[in-house]
Amino acid sequence: MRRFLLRRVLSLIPTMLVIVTIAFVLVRVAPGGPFDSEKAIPPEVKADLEKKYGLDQSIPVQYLSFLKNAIRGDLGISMKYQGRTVNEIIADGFPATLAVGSFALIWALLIGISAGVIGAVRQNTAWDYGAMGFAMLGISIPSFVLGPLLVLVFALTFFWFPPAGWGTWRHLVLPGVALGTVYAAYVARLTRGGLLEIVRQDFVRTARAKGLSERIVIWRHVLKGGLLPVVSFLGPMIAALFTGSVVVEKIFATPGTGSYFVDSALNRDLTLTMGMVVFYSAFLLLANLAVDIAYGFLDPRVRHE
Amino acid sequence: MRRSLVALAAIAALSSACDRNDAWYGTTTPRHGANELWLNNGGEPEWFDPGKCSDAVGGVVINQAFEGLVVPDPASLVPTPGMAVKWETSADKRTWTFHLRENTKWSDGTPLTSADFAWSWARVLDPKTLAKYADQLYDIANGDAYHQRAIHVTAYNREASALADAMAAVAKVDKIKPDPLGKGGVFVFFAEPSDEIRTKAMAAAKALGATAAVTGPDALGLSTPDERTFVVTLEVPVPYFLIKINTQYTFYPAPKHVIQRLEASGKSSDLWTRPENFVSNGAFVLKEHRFRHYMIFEPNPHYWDRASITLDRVKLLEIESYVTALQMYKAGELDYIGENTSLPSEYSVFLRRKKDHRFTGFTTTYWYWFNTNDPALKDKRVRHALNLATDKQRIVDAVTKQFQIPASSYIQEGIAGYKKIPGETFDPEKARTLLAEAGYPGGKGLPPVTISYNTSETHKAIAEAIQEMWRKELGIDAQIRNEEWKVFLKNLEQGNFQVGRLGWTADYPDPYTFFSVFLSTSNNNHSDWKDRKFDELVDFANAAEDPEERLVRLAKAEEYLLDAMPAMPIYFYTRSYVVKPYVKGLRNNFQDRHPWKAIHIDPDAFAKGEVEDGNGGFVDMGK
Repeated sequence: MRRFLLRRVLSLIPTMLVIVTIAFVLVRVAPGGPFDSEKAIPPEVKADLEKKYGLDQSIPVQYLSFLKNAIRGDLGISMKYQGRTVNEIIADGFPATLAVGSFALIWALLIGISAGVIGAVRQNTAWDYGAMGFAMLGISIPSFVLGPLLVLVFALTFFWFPPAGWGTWRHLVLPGVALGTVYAAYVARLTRGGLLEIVRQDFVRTARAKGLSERIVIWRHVLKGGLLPVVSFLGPMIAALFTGSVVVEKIFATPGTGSYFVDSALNRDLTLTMGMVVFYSAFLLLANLAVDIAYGFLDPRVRHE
Repeated sequence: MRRSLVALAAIAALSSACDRNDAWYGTTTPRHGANELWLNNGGEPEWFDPGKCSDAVGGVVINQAFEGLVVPDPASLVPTPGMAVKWETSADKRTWTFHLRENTKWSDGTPLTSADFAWSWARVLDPKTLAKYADQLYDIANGDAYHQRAIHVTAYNREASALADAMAAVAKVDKIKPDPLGKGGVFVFFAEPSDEIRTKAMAAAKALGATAAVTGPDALGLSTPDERTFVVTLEVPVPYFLIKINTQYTFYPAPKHVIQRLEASGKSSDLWTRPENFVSNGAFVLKEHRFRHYMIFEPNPHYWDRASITLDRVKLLEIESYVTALQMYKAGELDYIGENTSLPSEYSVFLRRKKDHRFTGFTTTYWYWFNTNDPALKDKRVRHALNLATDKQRIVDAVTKQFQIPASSYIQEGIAGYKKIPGETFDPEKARTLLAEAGYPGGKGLPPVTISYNTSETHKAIAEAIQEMWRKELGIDAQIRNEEWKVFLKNLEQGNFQVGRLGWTADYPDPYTFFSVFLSTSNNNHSDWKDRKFDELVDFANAAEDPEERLVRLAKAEEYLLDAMPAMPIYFYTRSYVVKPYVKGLRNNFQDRHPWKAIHIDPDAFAKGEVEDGNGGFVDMGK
């Protein structure tokens, strides 16, 4: 186990390096720069600005100094916002993204697993069809439709939640639901499928034959194995939820990091774009690692030697 | 993202249908006390250091927190006393003397003197400051020499040609200009300056027995005879100078003492606009700032006109989505959508029927640049044919639907009294004749033409409409091409386009701001149409003694420009916005500037039927 962990952690380094290198080259070769604007700025000022941020140097030199600083944890200064460091921008925005993402995650698991279990236990009944109908609906309605619908119903008709903004738990609910519902739907289908597969296994039949109650069979035996597909989905799901969504953050005016990735690339805020690449790729790789480890605990067939 | 907004708009439009009979959009009484204002600023400001800002979002913050020598009247925008109580100009209109108000202070109580203005203006021109709008201050004598690090040659006693030859031997010279302040000495500007060239040039000048140095701030036409007097000498007389310093925030002061304190403590001086360091001289000060979320402002206790401010707290949100901002307005979480939020076009017709909707002229013109170097477009008859074949009224009525005004010239009616030029309107018959005269009857033989625009639904719809008009009226099969914003800008700048959409927003409410774009020296002139005659016509106009005469001469210059047609005017912007019935003192104006110090909240305005219309009158509350 320890050797497995060490190997996986070490293998993250070359993966990170490849991601960062490709991203670095791509953002530098993209046409247009951070200081191009609709109203022309004097050419000398532009040249001096580029010099200030080191853009006058060759790409390899810029790359090496970026790497050197990044290893020390310094992602540089934003080229767009006055005196803001990239570290500061991520630290300011990430809590909001994390909060919405966590809410969405809990929502997705709670609703998804419940619906999946209901569907599997009451297979081919009205319960099953209802739960899976909900799942199909959830998968088919994208967040950019669901978000405004939630605003219309819960904010502008019933006034239960604010239509947008940030600050209290009430601001968390609508974006969290808008973001999490699609995943709840996936989780429901995965749970139902996983459970149905396990239910037909011999050890379940044995458990039933031993006279265990249905409740204990489901909770203690079926669910543990039946949730494995959900666990493997957890990695990409956590990654997607915690990196935030441009769409949901714009609709609900959430001050998170979700929109920075897109916006900074459009603004050619090269330092912020690179900062987001480093931050997100590290996050994604670690999330996947965590899932792999969790797998080992849940499935006796998977042993990390 | 765009799809999401369309979906949101569709749903909202559906919901709007339910309350069609409601004459107001959402709440009509405030959700806060009478001393608060909640509004949106459309995003996070990039910079709100007055000298270094170049974005509209930062501009709003500066306009509320800082004050220049003069301040625009909330309705007419006419300059009124601000930090200066009175001012006079010399007979040659080149020297302006400003007399500062007694006892002016920064928000931390530090006295504000004429030296603060001199330092702030010199700071913008200091090449080390990297101010994007530094060239706005080139009106000040030797502003360009200081900013461009020209070589200042003094104590030179030999003939001018010897110096010129010596400089030309170093590198290509752009110009050699005598000191406009009459102190003797000349300034040498190189065409493509570098520090190496400057060193060589100084050595060459010294070899001729002169004294030479890189121009410093001492050469600027700024002086402070005493703490209350600020004297500005201009390079040449500038008729719109007062109007410019009135609304252009680059001329507002920055707190020298705070910036220098940060520098002395080894921190980045860019941090001075953080709430813990923030000091300003205008009506409001920044108290709290959450990045990409909101800003909180409170009145500046040391502001000279503190007594007239009724608001205790202003919450400025940073919501980027227009649709979201509008929903928040409807729910009463915004009192006013703010200067940087537009009404989504899907809503425009619906909102126009609401009584809290306002509508005013705005100083932006939307146009298509023609690349005059392009083989297809170098003949001005072709450019005129394209212009004549474009039905701008239809674009405004059927495509944009935001109640813009179709444009057949570049400058709209009424900016500083300017009279709009009639220009040529839709005339497909004449367009066909001109195209035939240019050698392309029925569009035959004309090299392919492509319209480029930056990715946006509106720009796309306009380009498609124009493509169809040109095809139908002229037989031209134009292509359209969308490009990502920064790529588009790069291509415009490098002349890598044929027909390119853009436009111009007045920096200050004087027609000259539009003329400056087309000058042969302008970096914003993407057509590459350079005409000395036009430059001279503009200079001649600005030299006019009488303001009326100046406008007449400027109109002549615009006629000349329209004849050359380096750009095809399409429409003049208008500004539509919504503001709650309880907000008073928010007046319509050409620049969409609304000082909070003039605003007060009257929670009962709706009940009393006293809702302002923004033009000095009241809204008809009829059923």
